[in-house]
Amino acid sequence: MIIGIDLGTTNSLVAVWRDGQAEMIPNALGHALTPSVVGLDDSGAVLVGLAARERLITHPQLTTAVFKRYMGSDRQTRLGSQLFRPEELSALVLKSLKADAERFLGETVTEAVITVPAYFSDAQRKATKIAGQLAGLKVERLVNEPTAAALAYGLHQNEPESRFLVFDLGGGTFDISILELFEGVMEVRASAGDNFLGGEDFSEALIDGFIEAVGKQHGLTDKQADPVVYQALRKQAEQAKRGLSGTAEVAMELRYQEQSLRWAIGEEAFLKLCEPLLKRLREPIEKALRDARLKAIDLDQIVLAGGATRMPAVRKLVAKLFGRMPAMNLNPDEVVARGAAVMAGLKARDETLNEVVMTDVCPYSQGIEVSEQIATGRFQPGFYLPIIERNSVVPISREQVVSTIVDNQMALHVSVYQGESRLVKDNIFLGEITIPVPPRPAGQISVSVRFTYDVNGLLEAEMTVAETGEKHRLIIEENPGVLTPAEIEEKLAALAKLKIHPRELLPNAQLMARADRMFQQALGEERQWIAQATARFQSMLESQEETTIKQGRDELKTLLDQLEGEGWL
Amino acid sequence: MPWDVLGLAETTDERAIRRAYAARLKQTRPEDDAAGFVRLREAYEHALGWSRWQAMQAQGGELAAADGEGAVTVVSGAAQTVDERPVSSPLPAVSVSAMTGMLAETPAQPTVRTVWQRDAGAPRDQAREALRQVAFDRDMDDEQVLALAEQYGWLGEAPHTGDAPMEWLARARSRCAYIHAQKAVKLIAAALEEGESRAVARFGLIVRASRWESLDGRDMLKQVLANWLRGRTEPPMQLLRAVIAWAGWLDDFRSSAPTMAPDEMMLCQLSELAAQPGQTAEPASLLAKLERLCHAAFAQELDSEALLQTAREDGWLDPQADWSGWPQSWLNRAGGRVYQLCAQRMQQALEAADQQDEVARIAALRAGFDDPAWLDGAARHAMAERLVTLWREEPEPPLLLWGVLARWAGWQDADGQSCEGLSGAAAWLCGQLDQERVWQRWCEMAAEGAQQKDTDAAALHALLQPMPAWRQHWLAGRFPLQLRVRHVLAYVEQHWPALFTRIAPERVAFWRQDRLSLQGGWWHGLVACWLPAILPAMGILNREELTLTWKILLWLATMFALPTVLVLSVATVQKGWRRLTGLHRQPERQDVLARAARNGFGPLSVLASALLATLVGTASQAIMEIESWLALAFAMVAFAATLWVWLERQANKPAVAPDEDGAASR
Repeated sequence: MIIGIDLGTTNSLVAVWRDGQAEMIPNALGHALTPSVVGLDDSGAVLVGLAARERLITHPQLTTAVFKRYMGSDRQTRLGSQLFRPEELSALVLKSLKADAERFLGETVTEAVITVPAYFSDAQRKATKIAGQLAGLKVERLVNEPTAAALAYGLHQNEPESRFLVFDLGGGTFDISILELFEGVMEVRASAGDNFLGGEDFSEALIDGFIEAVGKQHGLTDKQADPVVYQALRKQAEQAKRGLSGTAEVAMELRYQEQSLRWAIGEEAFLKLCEPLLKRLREPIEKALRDARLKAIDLDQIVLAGGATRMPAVRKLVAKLFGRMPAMNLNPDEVVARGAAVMAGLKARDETLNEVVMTDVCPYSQGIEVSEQIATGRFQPGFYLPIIERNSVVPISREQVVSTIVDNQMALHVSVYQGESRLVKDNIFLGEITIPVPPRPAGQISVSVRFTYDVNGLLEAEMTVAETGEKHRLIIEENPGVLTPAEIEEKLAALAKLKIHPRELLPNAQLMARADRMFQQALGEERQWIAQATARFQSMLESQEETTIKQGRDELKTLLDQLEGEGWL
Repeated sequence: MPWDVLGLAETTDERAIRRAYAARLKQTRPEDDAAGFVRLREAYEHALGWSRWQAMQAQGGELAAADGEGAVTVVSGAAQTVDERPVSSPLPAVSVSAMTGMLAETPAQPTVRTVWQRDAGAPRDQAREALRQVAFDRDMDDEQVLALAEQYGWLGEAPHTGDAPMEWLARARSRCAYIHAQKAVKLIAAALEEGESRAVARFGLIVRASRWESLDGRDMLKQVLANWLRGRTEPPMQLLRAVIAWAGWLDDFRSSAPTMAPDEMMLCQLSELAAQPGQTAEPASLLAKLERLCHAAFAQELDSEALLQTAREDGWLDPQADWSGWPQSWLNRAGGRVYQLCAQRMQQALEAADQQDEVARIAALRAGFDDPAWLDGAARHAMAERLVTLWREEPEPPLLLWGVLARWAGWQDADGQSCEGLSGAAAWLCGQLDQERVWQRWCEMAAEGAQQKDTDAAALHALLQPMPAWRQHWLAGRFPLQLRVRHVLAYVEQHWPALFTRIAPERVAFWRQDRLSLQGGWWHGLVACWLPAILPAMGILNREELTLTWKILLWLATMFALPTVLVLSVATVQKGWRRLTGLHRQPERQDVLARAARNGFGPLSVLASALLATLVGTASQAIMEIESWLALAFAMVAFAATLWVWLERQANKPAVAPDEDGAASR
């Protein structure tokens, strides 16, 4: 059985294709969403999910979130005494999802389809694959998030032919894909996006607004200075963001240095606050439409995906941009995971999906550095010659012919780049190779450079010297920031040593973490109640009797819910 | 080929192509059969491109959509060159008139696609009829259009369309956006009258309106603005920069494969050029220059004279000019067109002069030399190659014409020396010309060779100069010349096979034959004949028993008959020996033995004659002992000296070698 995983910046989900439909798999707490938060509990065991998220506020040194943003980089996070790479943190989340799936399906799971933002680069994709490997999952296929969303959406389409745009604003990434559906073919026409724009940025904007409006008067200028304050602010911002979906005005509250800070914000003010962010949403859409050679009016539907699209500000913007209301018939949180499950079903050759084929595109152009003639006999290096244009359907194989520019040139230096700029210095360097050529007058030696790009985004370059027929190959595999196989082995061993918090005990851990967090945030009488209830639950836990514990858990949960309202995901 | 992959016959039916692709795709899934998919996809894209191209052709030149799918931009006089298919990137067009073209279409019933339904406040039919009118009735008043759009909320998120096809709504929206954009531009234009900064301010105000937030509306405003700005002879640069910044064109413009409308591209180009450090030209003149370049590169109808004139004035093909910052693809395209045109003109002029004499043809060729395309050496080279391939088969090579061409193309310098490193047609032509030059010089040398002996010139004279048979035999009598001629023949055959065939074959055969030579160098004769004979002859003179008459007769006989008999007998013996041993059939060995056999005055003969003369002298017993021994010693010394001189000459023999060093053989 192959599972489909949406490994998100804020939340992760797992789903499976079963009996001709995508089914969401609940975690130990019974939720579909598992927050992408990893932490260590007091005994040093790894906690993943909601329990860890609660501890973000109480134990910020032992907990971390939003690590997806650092995938494909060397940045390490310190939890307690240990350092973790983003791949390892993601692997811990994947492991927990895998355990949920195994419990749900009653069989071992070894293969998965994982979604990545369409705009993820080569290094980021490789890091995601490695994270899967570290979690003991064979990553059969990486699929672009908006593509997955479209897959989930497209399957529910009755129209035989349609074009639609998937607007995927997740926690940390923003993706646009334009898809066309005809004759059972789901063709991605174009994708574009911004890897550093998501719901988290709207929270940050609120935090900045808060500090600007009330924090500064009370000596709070640097939001990052105190992790406890920062996490508390994040939670407030998150709640305010959600609140703004329903009501016209919400308040953010913070206890800071024995003072209670309060800031009320209305919808108008919020819109103004995130204007720069909303502006950034426009550009990828225009780019994708241009690449797909479509006008906004040609689209049949706008599909929203990603939790951040619940924000009315975003929905309004979409409606304004396209002059129509977007489709809302799928849960935006789950749509990507459902799509991943469909992909997994396709991969497993599920017969209910026989009539569906999907083709995807490569999000970036790939090319080589060339010298251009600026006047007779004068050449200037540093220009970019794209060989595979962005938004070409993959897999693809394309060829360009280059030639020598100097008499008796002995070698040809081929540097491979990814990006859109005319000058290679603004693009991302992928690899290089030097090939010897027979000395001849300038221009007489021509070399054809063939790029082959496969469905998983692996690029291979082949150079053929026309005169000698000699072939040279360059496979882009190693990037700075991507682990080598030896390092992966090492990390696997290190992860195996980590203690994982027992899955059955997770509900208790989550509840205790929540109580701790609320205790810290509460004041006066409330604080007393929480302390008492927590102590009672603690003693029940020690009794080790299943029924007593369950009863105590329910009691404590009811109290906390009364004080705070339902927990959010 | 692509059609085979799709399993279709050539068709312009896009639906059929898509169906075929979809059907095959299910057997060739990209994740299973990557190579198969790549082939299928290429075939599909080719087929789609072809069918769209056909559709565009069918529409005719006056209405060619800039982009196959659903584009509202209609480009009048869209750009296609004769030999190129429009590529997927938009081509800068000469002018854009979005609405005129669009409304010219007939209101065909479009295929019905998804239409979202709203409960209309007004009766459906009414909304539908209004929409139809707005979408297709081009005489409708602008204000009326806007009023209707307002009434039915077509620009809002919940338009009342009365079940009309979505494309009608799209057209209506475009039309409204166009009207609004026109109004906005009018306001900006009015502000521009009062000063550029006012116009910039006005522009800033206008774009803040929420009307321009929708993607389609914004697109339209961008298009109309770009079109208006481009049409101004004095481009307002401040305003231009403000517009570019607002529209965000620069990012796209600077990317490796821009996907922009023509006007936008032109404006970005202008702004970039004007901002270039060291740019001194006025924006207006830059724009004019850009427009001319764009026109030359993309316009469909071209006035060839004007094109050449502009090309010369603007210097597009001038290799000295600095074109950095200018759009290379436009320059290449315009340059390509100028080149094509010049090439065509030259070829036509040459064809017209085809049946005339060479002078007329040269004149026709020279007439095109000043065309602007030929400022660039590479272009000259390409053109000359083209002409050479045409002329290659001509039965009588027009050598003068070729020479003119080779010097023009830069393959030969003014003195007719070929450049190094030529290949292809250039190498062939220069080879022909070089060969001809060599032949000419040989002929000159042959004429001079009449006065020379045993030199290369003399050999060429013997080979090439027309002459009576007796003179040929007379020349062949000189053995050194024979040798020299053979040398020259061998050299020519090896290095100039084409020229070798021009030498009369009977001459070649004549000079390759072995023959006895009766003439030698004067000192050959002296050493070989006279010296051996002189002592016996003196001995005869010393004999006292003979009368004076006998003395004279015997002396003469010794002096003349002895060498002749010697030479003849030795030669005959050697010739016979070669016949006997079959050596005469082995040409490669001929040289060694034949030398001796042919040369009556060669060392063997000298030795033999000396010996015989001495014997005769001794046998006469009238000579003192001492005299005969002196004679013998003298003969030996003479023989050695002859042999040495002769070998020396053989070893250092220069042959005709005009290509190694032009002056060597003179």
